[in-house]
Amino acid sequence: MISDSSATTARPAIEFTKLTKDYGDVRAVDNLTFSVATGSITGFLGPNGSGKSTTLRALLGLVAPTHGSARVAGRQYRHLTEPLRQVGAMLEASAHPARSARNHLLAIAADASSPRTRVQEVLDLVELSSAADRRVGGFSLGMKQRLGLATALMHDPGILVLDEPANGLDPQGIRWLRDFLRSLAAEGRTILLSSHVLAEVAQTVDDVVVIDHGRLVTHQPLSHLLAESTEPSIRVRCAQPTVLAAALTSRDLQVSNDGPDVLFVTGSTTETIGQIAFDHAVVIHEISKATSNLEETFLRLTSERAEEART
Amino acid sequence: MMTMLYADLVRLRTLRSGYAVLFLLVAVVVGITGASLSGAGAEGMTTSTQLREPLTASVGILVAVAAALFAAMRVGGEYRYGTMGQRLLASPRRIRFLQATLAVHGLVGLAVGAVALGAGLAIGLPMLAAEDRSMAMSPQIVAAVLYAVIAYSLIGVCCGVIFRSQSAAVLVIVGAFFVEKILGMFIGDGAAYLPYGLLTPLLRLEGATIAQTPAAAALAVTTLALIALAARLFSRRDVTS
Repeated sequence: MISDSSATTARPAIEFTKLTKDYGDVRAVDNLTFSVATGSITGFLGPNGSGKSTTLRALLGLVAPTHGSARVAGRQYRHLTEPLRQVGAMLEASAHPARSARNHLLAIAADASSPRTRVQEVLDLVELSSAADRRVGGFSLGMKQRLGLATALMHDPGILVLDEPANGLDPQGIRWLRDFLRSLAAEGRTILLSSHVLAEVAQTVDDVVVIDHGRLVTHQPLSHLLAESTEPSIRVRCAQPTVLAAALTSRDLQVSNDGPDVLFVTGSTTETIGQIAFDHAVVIHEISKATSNLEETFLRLTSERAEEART
Repeated sequence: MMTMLYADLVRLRTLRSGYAVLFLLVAVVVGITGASLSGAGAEGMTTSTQLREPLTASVGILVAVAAALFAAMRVGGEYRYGTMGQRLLASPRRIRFLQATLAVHGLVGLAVGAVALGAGLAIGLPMLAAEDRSMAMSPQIVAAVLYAVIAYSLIGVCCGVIFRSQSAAVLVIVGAFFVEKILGMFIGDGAAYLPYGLLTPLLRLEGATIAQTPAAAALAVTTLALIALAARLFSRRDVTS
């Protein structure tokens, strides 16, 4: 199914080494180093403007790095012998609005002499056959994203680079994309997909790379990040939050505010907190266990980096 | 290279605008030629040069400029619609991509020029033959007309690459005509060496102040200089959209 023989080797499919890109005085990507293992799905995450697209464009030879390198299958993209058969990319949902989806894909097929029959195959694959002869200009964002995926898959590449494929999709579309990416991964493809919403990719990816302000924040298996994000905390709503917060911090517990009368406490139990509140005559209105979700973890990771950047 | 040429031709074939432009240009050339030659024999329409001028000027100037605008719109459109990145994924060696684009538009210019010229001749020659007149259309003039269309097509590609915007490229191509007219007031005969000014001697139209051969050479130099500039910029610039 997959034409890229590199899928069976141990070499990383994608490597960034000290990649730096400056646009004038602005540093879009800053000394970024990470690699994507062959056959894995890696989520490339960061807030808007964090340098994700620039990094992916550097990988694909569209943006020249200021320093460092970006390699795919061990080579710079422009040195690949059959780039479209090795790497499929979806940078943005781009097609001439006056061209039909079928004609757009016919042109893409011609780029690497793929047979015309492949056009119908990829249309079926992304479930766009019924709209194949409609002009792309009239497509919804979700349909354009599907067309972008069909474009990336046209030459059956072993490596897929997808920039924000879930952008603008409704929940149904995100679910479809998730299942679709899983099916592609099951075929042994390497997938690097960017997103600014961790939850969108959390059920799809094996590894997570988080960047912010062009710098690497973390690169770890999703399972580690999930374990980190499920550390339990206790939500307490009370009448005298400042009194309780002082009492809790004096016992080396981590306390954070969430609104005027709500505290989040980590590293303790409801029983212990209840006892401390009782000892300090604090009236408790509500006390319950809470787990931070992936999104909170993601925001914490990126906000920590933002704080570092400011200081 | 053949794959790139074929892929670009597929892109041209799958847009209706290309056919519309071709039809419109042929209609305009036929209209101008027919309307002008209906007055053959009247004052100012007696010599073979005068009789030839409506056809050579409509193809050599009007079609040439339209071909330049079409090429600039196509290349600028790749940036406008965000498809340039996609094109360069298929052809990461940018100079080869530019060469293929120039080759396609050169061929398109040749084909459009030939069709328009053929249509004009098909209308004009019988009209003149009926009045026992001739426009003395030599192979040299036919070649000059087609050369003008091809050169302007290539200039259009270069403008699209250099400005990366349809509107900016069109503004420059159209604006250059007026800028040349203004410059002509200051530099006199030197204006004959500017891109639009070169068409008069190249097509052997009335009022030429230089010979055809230096005009052809100057147009070649202008085109090559623009290609060199476009290649330099295209190979260095980031594609960010």
